[in-house]
Amino acid sequence: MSQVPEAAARAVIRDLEGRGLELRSLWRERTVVLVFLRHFG
Amino acid sequence: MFCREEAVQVHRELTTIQERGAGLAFIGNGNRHHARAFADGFEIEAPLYVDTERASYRALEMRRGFRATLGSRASLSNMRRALKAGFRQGLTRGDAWQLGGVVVVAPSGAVLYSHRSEAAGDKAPVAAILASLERA
Repeated sequence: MSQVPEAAARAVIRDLEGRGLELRSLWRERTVVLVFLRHFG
Repeated sequence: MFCREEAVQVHRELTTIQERGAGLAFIGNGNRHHARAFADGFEIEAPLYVDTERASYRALEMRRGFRATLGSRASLSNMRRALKAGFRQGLTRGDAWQLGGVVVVAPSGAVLYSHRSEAAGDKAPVAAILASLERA
């Protein structure tokens, strides 16, 4: 099974308060379904 | 409208996803004010994040470009489907040419499922997303 590329795991996203976090923090504790939206509209 | 359609359809399965021990998160490429309006408007309870630089999209090889988004035959039939289901296009907030997708990741970093949109409105089948959680 393939692994998430390192560049993706380390990509920095922001929560709605503007705090930055690495993408990989989303699956650190449990499996996560990540939905990448086209845009908000 | 596709963005709304996908978000709402996957979000309907939030309870099932949680029952299977997994979480759900949305990532958009507009700014956080757009994201908040989107979450409020569609009563999205799952966490929502933004990636205005689109670094995560690039690293996960999500497609981008006019031909891939609206300039394709598939996007037109997808548009008819979404309109029929009652989804309407709102003001585009974010990169209009960026496509999205769904990636299911285990704590080990293993990709359990991935779907990269090939055209605007090309969505991951919800059943396939849920099936990947049974294997987790």
